[in-house]
Amino acid sequence: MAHEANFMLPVSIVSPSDLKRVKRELSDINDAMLQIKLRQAGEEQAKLPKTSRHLEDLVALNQLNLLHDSDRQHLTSMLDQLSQHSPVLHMSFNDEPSDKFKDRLITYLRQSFDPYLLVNFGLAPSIGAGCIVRTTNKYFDLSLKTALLSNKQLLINQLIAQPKPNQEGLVA
Amino acid sequence: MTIWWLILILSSIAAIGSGFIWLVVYLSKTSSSTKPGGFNDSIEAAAKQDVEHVFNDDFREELRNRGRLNFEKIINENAMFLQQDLRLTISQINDYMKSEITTKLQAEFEKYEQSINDAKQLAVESLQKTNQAIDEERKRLSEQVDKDIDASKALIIERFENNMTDIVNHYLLAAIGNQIDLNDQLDFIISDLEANKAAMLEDLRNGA
Repeated sequence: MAHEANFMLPVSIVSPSDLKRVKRELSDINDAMLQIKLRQAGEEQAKLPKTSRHLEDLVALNQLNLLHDSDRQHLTSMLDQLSQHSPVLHMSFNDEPSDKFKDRLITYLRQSFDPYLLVNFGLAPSIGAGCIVRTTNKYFDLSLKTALLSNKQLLINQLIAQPKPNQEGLVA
Repeated sequence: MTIWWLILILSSIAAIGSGFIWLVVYLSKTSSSTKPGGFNDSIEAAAKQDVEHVFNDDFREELRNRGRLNFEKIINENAMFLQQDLRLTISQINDYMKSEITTKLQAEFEKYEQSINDAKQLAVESLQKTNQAIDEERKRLSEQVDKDIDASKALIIERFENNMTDIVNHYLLAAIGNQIDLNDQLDFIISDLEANKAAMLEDLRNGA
């Protein structure tokens, strides 16, 4: 598996869709390279497709050269394995996460959970703060609402301990 | 006792009066029964003359006057006695009447007072019962109101506690929802993920 091959995923590749996009780009490059090989003298030279930041990061991180067939094959193989076996988390937040946030979160997850972990981000505006995590079979509500609910007695105690406002609504 | 004295005095007055009348009638009969005739007639005539000489009209008149005076005197004395007795009797009757009236009035007043006291006692008992009933009703109402207030309070608290999380969450969202950045929440999220890491990893590795 990818572990044994010392293969690393960059933080820019976050979700399975990113992985699929990289695979598609790699496939396009393979096609372009094949066309270049097959080109005969005098014919118009085939152009390599533009690569995304995801693919560039992936190649740079794993010190690969896409001009080499072996590296492309290796990368294709690894991407196939990852798309089939990488663990996927679904995380929902109350707002669209920024790239910086995603980078930090993915870095943590890949260090602590799995180096090939992929994350699907979603939106759940009603949770207020925190997140909701869904794994293959489980659902983890890590939102502020649930945190308040689990600490309801503490909140009640704090409300009871609060000084009562006087008739003018001012706290003594 | 006073009545008997009155009867006795009236009886004595009647007896004296009847005796005097009888004396006058007897004397008039005796004077009219003398008749003329014979020796006897002469004697009788002489006696009559003598008697008429002694008991002439002046003498009779004198006797009548004396009798009249005595009778008037007796009548006056008896009248005086009768008047005294009548005054005494009237005084005693007044005293008796006063005492009787006082006794009767006192008895009536006592009965009246007793009736008033009974009525008063009944009124007091009725008022006490009414007060007791009012107190019991007030106590029952007070308990009912307290119970309702406690139930309402418990219901409000229960509703508040049940919906408190949503209320606080809604308040937080409305108050600072736009100011909570995900970057600021990252540590909180990571700590939660760390707390559930084992369960997540297990499901990721073993699930499907």
